[in-house]
Amino acid sequence: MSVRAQSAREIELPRFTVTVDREELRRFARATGDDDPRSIDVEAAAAAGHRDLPLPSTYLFSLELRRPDPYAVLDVLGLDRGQMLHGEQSFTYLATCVAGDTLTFSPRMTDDYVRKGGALRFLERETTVERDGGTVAVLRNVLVVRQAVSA
Amino acid sequence: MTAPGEVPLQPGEVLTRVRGPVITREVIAEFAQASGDHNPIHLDRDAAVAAGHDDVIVHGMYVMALVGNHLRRVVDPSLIRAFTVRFAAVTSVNSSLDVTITVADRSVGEPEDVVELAVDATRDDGTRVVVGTARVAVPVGDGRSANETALRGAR
Repeated sequence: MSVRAQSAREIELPRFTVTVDREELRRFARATGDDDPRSIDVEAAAAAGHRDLPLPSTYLFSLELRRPDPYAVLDVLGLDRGQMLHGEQSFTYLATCVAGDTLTFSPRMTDDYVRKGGALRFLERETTVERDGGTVAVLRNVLVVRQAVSA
Repeated sequence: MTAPGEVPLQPGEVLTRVRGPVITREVIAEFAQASGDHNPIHLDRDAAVAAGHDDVIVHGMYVMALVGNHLRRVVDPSLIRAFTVRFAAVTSVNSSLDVTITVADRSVGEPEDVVELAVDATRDDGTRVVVGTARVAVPVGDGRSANETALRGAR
Protein backbone atom coordinates (compact mmCIF):
# COMPACT_ATOMS: atom_id res chain seq x y z
CA MET A 1 0.00 0.00 0.00
CA SER A 2 1.50 3.31 -1.02
CA VAL A 3 -0.93 5.66 0.69
CA ARG A 4 0.21 6.77 4.13
CA ALA A 5 -2.39 7.26 6.83
CA GLN A 6 -1.96 9.54 9.83
CA SER A 7 -4.17 7.56 12.15
CA ALA A 8 -4.93 3.85 12.19
CA ARG A 9 -8.60 4.78 12.51
CA GLU A 10 -8.56 5.88 8.87
CA ILE A 11 -7.56 2.39 7.77
CA GLU A 12 -10.22 -0.06 6.60
CA LEU A 13 -9.50 -3.69 7.38
CA PRO A 14 -10.93 -6.46 5.19
CA ARG A 15 -13.66 -8.73 6.44
CA PHE A 16 -12.85 -12.42 5.90
CA THR A 17 -14.24 -15.89 6.48
CA VAL A 18 -12.52 -19.07 7.66
CA THR A 19 -13.65 -22.60 8.43
CA VAL A 20 -12.17 -24.15 11.58
CA ASP A 21 -10.08 -27.21 10.79
CA ARG A 22 -10.11 -30.12 13.26
CA GLU A 23 -6.52 -31.20 12.57
CA GLU A 24 -5.28 -27.67 13.09
CA LEU A 25 -7.05 -27.57 16.45
CA ARG A 26 -5.25 -30.77 17.46
CA ARG A 27 -1.95 -29.29 16.35
CA PHE A 28 -2.64 -26.17 18.43
CA ALA A 29 -3.47 -28.36 21.45
CA ARG A 30 -0.18 -30.25 21.04
CA ALA A 31 1.78 -27.02 20.65
CA THR A 32 0.36 -25.56 23.87
CA GLY A 33 0.55 -28.75 25.96
CA ASP A 34 -3.26 -28.99 26.13
CA ASP A 35 -3.90 -32.63 27.03
CA ASP A 36 -7.63 -32.22 27.72
CA PRO A 37 -9.31 -35.10 25.81
CA ARG A 38 -12.11 -32.71 24.77
CA SER A 39 -9.53 -30.72 22.81
CA ILE A 40 -8.34 -33.67 20.72
CA ASP A 41 -10.94 -36.44 20.79
CA VAL A 42 -14.30 -35.88 19.08
CA GLU A 43 -16.04 -38.47 21.29
CA ALA A 44 -14.80 -36.81 24.48
CA ALA A 45 -15.97 -33.48 23.06
CA ALA A 46 -19.37 -34.98 22.21
CA ALA A 47 -19.67 -36.37 25.76
CA ALA A 48 -19.18 -32.78 26.98
CA GLY A 49 -22.04 -31.67 24.70
CA HIS A 50 -20.09 -30.32 21.73
CA ARG A 51 -20.82 -30.98 18.04
CA ASP A 52 -17.07 -31.28 17.42
CA LEU A 53 -13.78 -30.24 19.05
CA PRO A 54 -14.34 -26.91 20.84
CA LEU A 55 -11.94 -24.03 20.22
CA PRO A 56 -9.38 -23.35 22.96
CA SER A 57 -9.83 -19.97 24.69
CA THR A 58 -7.34 -18.09 22.52
CA TYR A 59 -7.64 -19.86 19.16
CA LEU A 60 -9.81 -17.14 17.61
CA PHE A 61 -6.70 -14.94 17.66
CA SER A 62 -4.90 -17.45 15.43
CA LEU A 63 -7.84 -17.54 13.05
CA GLU A 64 -7.81 -13.75 12.97
CA LEU A 65 -4.15 -13.87 11.87
CA ARG A 66 -5.35 -15.53 8.65
CA ARG A 67 -6.45 -12.18 7.29
CA PRO A 68 -4.32 -11.15 4.32
CA ASP A 69 -1.09 -9.51 5.53
CA PRO A 70 -2.21 -9.00 9.13
CA TYR A 71 0.36 -6.30 9.94
CA ALA A 72 -0.05 -4.20 6.77
CA VAL A 73 -1.48 -1.47 8.99
CA LEU A 74 2.05 -0.85 10.34
CA ASP A 75 3.37 -0.25 6.82
CA VAL A 76 0.54 2.16 6.04
CA LEU A 77 1.44 4.13 9.17
CA GLY A 78 5.17 4.00 8.38
CA LEU A 79 5.94 1.93 11.50
CA ASP A 80 8.63 -0.75 11.87
CA ARG A 81 7.25 -4.28 12.24
CA GLY A 82 10.42 -5.25 14.13
CA GLN A 83 9.48 -2.82 16.91
CA MET A 84 5.98 -4.18 17.52
CA LEU A 85 4.88 -5.98 20.67
CA HIS A 86 1.56 -7.43 21.70
CA GLY A 87 0.28 -5.17 24.48
CA GLU A 88 -3.13 -6.56 25.40
CA GLN A 89 -5.58 -9.18 24.19
CA SER A 90 -9.17 -9.73 25.15
CA PHE A 91 -11.85 -12.22 24.18
CA THR A 92 -15.55 -11.95 24.93
CA TYR A 93 -17.40 -15.20 24.24
CA LEU A 94 -21.09 -15.32 23.34
CA ALA A 95 -21.19 -18.92 22.10
CA THR A 96 -18.88 -21.92 21.91
CA CYS A 97 -17.32 -22.48 18.50
CA VAL A 98 -16.23 -25.90 17.28
CA ALA A 99 -14.27 -27.50 14.43
CA GLY A 100 -16.19 -27.24 11.18
CA ASP A 101 -17.72 -23.87 12.03
CA THR A 102 -17.46 -21.20 9.35
CA LEU A 103 -16.65 -17.89 11.02
CA THR A 104 -16.63 -14.38 9.58
CA PHE A 105 -14.21 -11.88 11.11
CA SER A 106 -14.91 -8.14 10.86
CA PRO A 107 -11.90 -6.26 12.22
CA ARG A 108 -11.68 -2.50 12.59
CA MET A 109 -9.08 -0.16 14.04
CA THR A 110 -10.66 1.56 17.03
CA ASP A 111 -7.90 3.71 18.49
CA ASP A 112 -4.42 5.09 17.81
CA TYR A 113 -2.51 7.11 20.39
CA VAL A 114 0.97 7.68 21.79
CA ARG A 115 2.51 7.48 25.26
CA LYS A 116 5.92 8.29 26.73
CA GLY A 117 6.31 11.47 24.74
CA GLY A 118 5.58 9.68 21.48
CA ALA A 119 8.07 6.84 21.96
CA LEU A 120 5.28 4.25 22.18
CA ARG A 121 2.43 4.07 19.68
CA PHE A 122 -0.69 2.15 20.68
CA LEU A 123 -2.93 0.68 17.98
CA GLU A 124 -6.23 -0.81 19.09
CA ARG A 125 -8.36 -3.17 17.06
CA GLU A 126 -11.74 -4.71 17.70
CA THR A 127 -12.91 -7.73 15.76
CA THR A 128 -16.41 -9.13 15.74
CA VAL A 129 -16.75 -12.84 14.93
CA GLU A 130 -19.99 -14.10 13.44
CA ARG A 131 -21.40 -17.54 12.67
CA ASP A 132 -24.56 -17.79 10.58
CA GLY A 133 -25.14 -14.07 11.04
CA GLY A 134 -24.99 -14.12 14.85
CA THR A 135 -22.11 -12.75 16.91
CA VAL A 136 -20.17 -15.50 18.71
CA ALA A 137 -17.19 -13.52 20.01
CA VAL A 138 -15.52 -10.14 20.14
CA LEU A 139 -11.73 -9.77 20.20
CA ARG A 140 -9.86 -6.69 21.35
CA ASN A 141 -6.19 -6.24 20.57
CA VAL A 142 -3.63 -3.62 21.54
CA LEU A 143 -0.38 -3.47 19.58
CA VAL A 144 2.46 -1.42 21.01
CA VAL A 145 5.06 -0.14 18.56
CA ARG A 146 8.24 1.63 19.56
CA GLN A 147 8.83 4.59 17.26
CA ALA A 148 11.45 7.30 16.90
CA VAL A 149 10.49 10.53 18.62
CA SER A 150 10.78 13.45 16.24
CA ALA A 151 12.59 16.39 17.82
CA MET B 1 -14.49 -29.95 43.12
CA THR B 2 -17.23 -28.61 45.38
CA ALA B 3 -20.20 -30.72 46.37
CA PRO B 4 -23.68 -29.14 46.67
CA GLY B 5 -23.97 -27.21 49.91
CA GLU B 6 -20.29 -26.47 50.24
CA VAL B 7 -18.96 -22.96 50.51
CA PRO B 8 -19.13 -21.36 47.05
CA LEU B 9 -16.21 -19.73 45.27
CA GLN B 10 -15.08 -16.81 47.39
CA PRO B 11 -12.71 -13.93 46.69
CA GLY B 12 -9.13 -14.84 47.60
CA GLU B 13 -9.55 -18.54 46.91
CA VAL B 14 -6.65 -19.93 44.87
CA LEU B 15 -8.02 -22.21 42.13
CA THR B 16 -4.68 -23.24 40.73
CA ARG B 17 -1.00 -22.46 41.06
CA VAL B 18 1.16 -24.52 38.76
CA ARG B 19 4.62 -24.56 37.32
CA GLY B 20 4.62 -24.58 33.54
CA PRO B 21 7.04 -26.48 31.28
CA VAL B 22 10.40 -25.09 30.12
CA ILE B 23 9.66 -23.13 26.95
CA THR B 24 12.41 -24.19 24.55
CA ARG B 25 13.17 -22.98 21.02
CA GLU B 26 11.40 -26.10 19.75
CA VAL B 27 8.26 -25.27 21.76
CA ILE B 28 8.29 -21.71 20.39
CA ALA B 29 8.81 -22.94 16.81
CA GLU B 30 5.96 -25.44 17.14
CA PHE B 31 3.68 -22.73 18.50
CA ALA B 32 4.63 -20.43 15.59
CA GLN B 33 3.53 -23.15 13.15
CA ALA B 34 0.34 -24.03 15.03
CA SER B 35 -0.71 -20.45 15.71
CA GLY B 36 0.31 -18.89 12.41
CA ASP B 37 2.39 -16.20 14.12
CA HIS B 38 5.77 -16.22 12.36
CA ASN B 39 7.11 -12.93 13.70
CA PRO B 40 10.93 -13.40 13.51
CA ILE B 41 11.36 -11.98 17.02
CA HIS B 42 10.23 -15.44 18.21
CA LEU B 43 12.26 -17.53 15.76
CA ASP B 44 15.40 -15.71 14.69
CA ARG B 45 17.99 -14.69 17.30
CA ASP B 46 19.35 -11.88 15.09
CA ALA B 47 15.89 -10.38 14.68
CA ALA B 48 15.32 -10.61 18.45
CA VAL B 49 18.67 -8.94 19.18
CA ALA B 50 17.91 -6.21 16.63
CA ALA B 51 14.70 -5.54 18.58
CA GLY B 52 16.68 -5.18 21.80
CA HIS B 53 16.34 -8.66 23.34
CA ASP B 54 19.09 -11.07 24.39
CA ASP B 55 17.60 -13.96 22.45
CA VAL B 56 14.28 -15.01 20.95
CA ILE B 57 11.24 -14.33 23.12
CA VAL B 58 8.14 -16.42 23.74
CA HIS B 59 4.90 -15.46 21.95
CA GLY B 60 2.62 -13.57 24.31
CA MET B 61 -0.22 -15.66 22.86
CA TYR B 62 1.59 -18.86 23.87
CA VAL B 63 1.55 -17.66 27.48
CA MET B 64 -2.11 -16.65 27.18
CA ALA B 65 -2.91 -20.09 25.71
CA LEU B 66 -1.08 -21.74 28.61
CA VAL B 67 -3.11 -19.71 31.11
CA GLY B 68 -6.25 -20.54 29.10
CA ASN B 69 -5.51 -24.27 29.34
CA HIS B 70 -5.34 -24.01 33.14
CA LEU B 71 -8.47 -21.87 33.18
CA ARG B 72 -10.38 -24.59 31.32
CA ARG B 73 -9.17 -27.13 33.88
CA VAL B 74 -10.58 -25.24 36.87
CA VAL B 75 -13.89 -24.03 35.41
CA ASP B 76 -16.33 -25.38 32.87
CA PRO B 77 -15.12 -23.84 29.56
CA SER B 78 -18.67 -23.16 28.36
CA LEU B 79 -19.18 -20.78 31.33
CA ILE B 80 -16.19 -18.55 30.49
CA ARG B 81 -17.64 -15.25 29.26
CA ALA B 82 -14.47 -13.20 28.85
CA PHE B 83 -10.70 -13.57 29.06
CA THR B 84 -8.44 -10.52 29.02
CA VAL B 85 -4.73 -10.10 29.57
CA ARG B 86 -2.05 -7.46 29.44
CA PHE B 87 1.40 -8.54 28.30
CA ALA B 88 3.43 -6.83 31.01
CA ALA B 89 6.91 -8.17 30.24
CA VAL B 90 8.65 -10.46 27.78
CA THR B 91 9.54 -14.12 28.43
CA SER B 92 12.95 -15.32 27.24
CA VAL B 93 13.49 -18.68 25.60
CA ASN B 94 14.19 -21.54 28.08
CA SER B 95 12.14 -19.89 30.85
CA SER B 96 9.37 -21.57 32.69
CA LEU B 97 6.40 -19.73 34.14
CA ASP B 98 4.19 -20.14 37.18
CA VAL B 99 0.50 -19.80 36.37
CA THR B 100 -1.85 -18.67 39.15
CA ILE B 101 -5.64 -18.37 39.03
CA THR B 102 -7.50 -16.89 42.01
CA VAL B 103 -11.04 -15.71 42.67
CA ALA B 104 -10.99 -11.89 42.61
CA ASP B 105 -14.63 -10.98 42.94
CA ARG B 106 -18.10 -12.38 42.88
CA SER B 107 -21.28 -10.55 42.06
CA VAL B 108 -24.80 -11.88 42.43
CA GLY B 109 -26.99 -11.52 39.37
CA GLU B 110 -29.87 -12.89 37.33
CA PRO B 111 -29.92 -15.21 35.50
CA GLU B 112 -26.33 -15.86 36.53
CA ASP B 113 -23.77 -14.84 39.09
CA VAL B 114 -20.49 -13.59 37.72
CA VAL B 115 -17.20 -14.68 39.21
CA GLU B 116 -14.16 -12.68 38.24
CA LEU B 117 -10.89 -14.60 38.32
CA ALA B 118 -7.46 -12.99 38.47
CA VAL B 119 -4.91 -14.77 36.29
CA ASP B 120 -1.19 -14.31 35.95
CA ALA B 121 1.97 -15.94 34.67
CA THR B 122 5.19 -15.13 36.52
CA ARG B 123 8.86 -15.60 35.70
CA ASP B 124 11.40 -17.06 38.15
CA ASP B 125 12.62 -13.56 39.01
CA GLY B 126 9.10 -12.66 40.19
CA THR B 127 8.21 -10.52 37.15
CA ARG B 128 4.66 -11.01 36.03
CA VAL B 129 4.65 -11.40 32.25
CA VAL B 130 0.92 -11.83 31.81
CA VAL B 131 -1.68 -10.26 34.09
CA GLY B 132 -5.39 -10.49 33.47
CA THR B 133 -8.89 -11.52 34.34
CA ALA B 134 -11.43 -14.10 33.30
CA ARG B 135 -15.16 -13.59 33.77
CA VAL B 136 -17.05 -16.80 34.50
CA ALA B 137 -20.81 -17.21 34.72
CA VAL B 138 -22.49 -19.24 37.43
CA PRO B 139 -26.10 -19.99 36.42
CA VAL B 140 -28.39 -19.55 39.42
CA GLY B 141 -31.63 -20.94 38.00
CA ASP B 142 -31.52 -24.21 39.94
CA GLY B 143 -29.97 -22.91 43.13
CA ARG B 144 -26.50 -21.55 43.68
CA SER B 145 -24.75 -24.46 45.36
CA ALA B 146 -25.83 -27.05 42.81
CA ASN B 147 -24.56 -24.88 40.01
CA GLU B 148 -21.32 -24.36 41.82
CA THR B 149 -20.76 -28.03 41.14
CA ALA B 150 -21.57 -27.47 37.47
CA LEU B 151 -19.11 -24.62 37.35
CA ARG B 152 -16.34 -26.80 38.66
CA GLY B 153 -17.44 -29.92 36.83
CA ALA B 154 -14.79 -29.35 34.20
CA ARG B 155 -13.24 -32.77 34.69
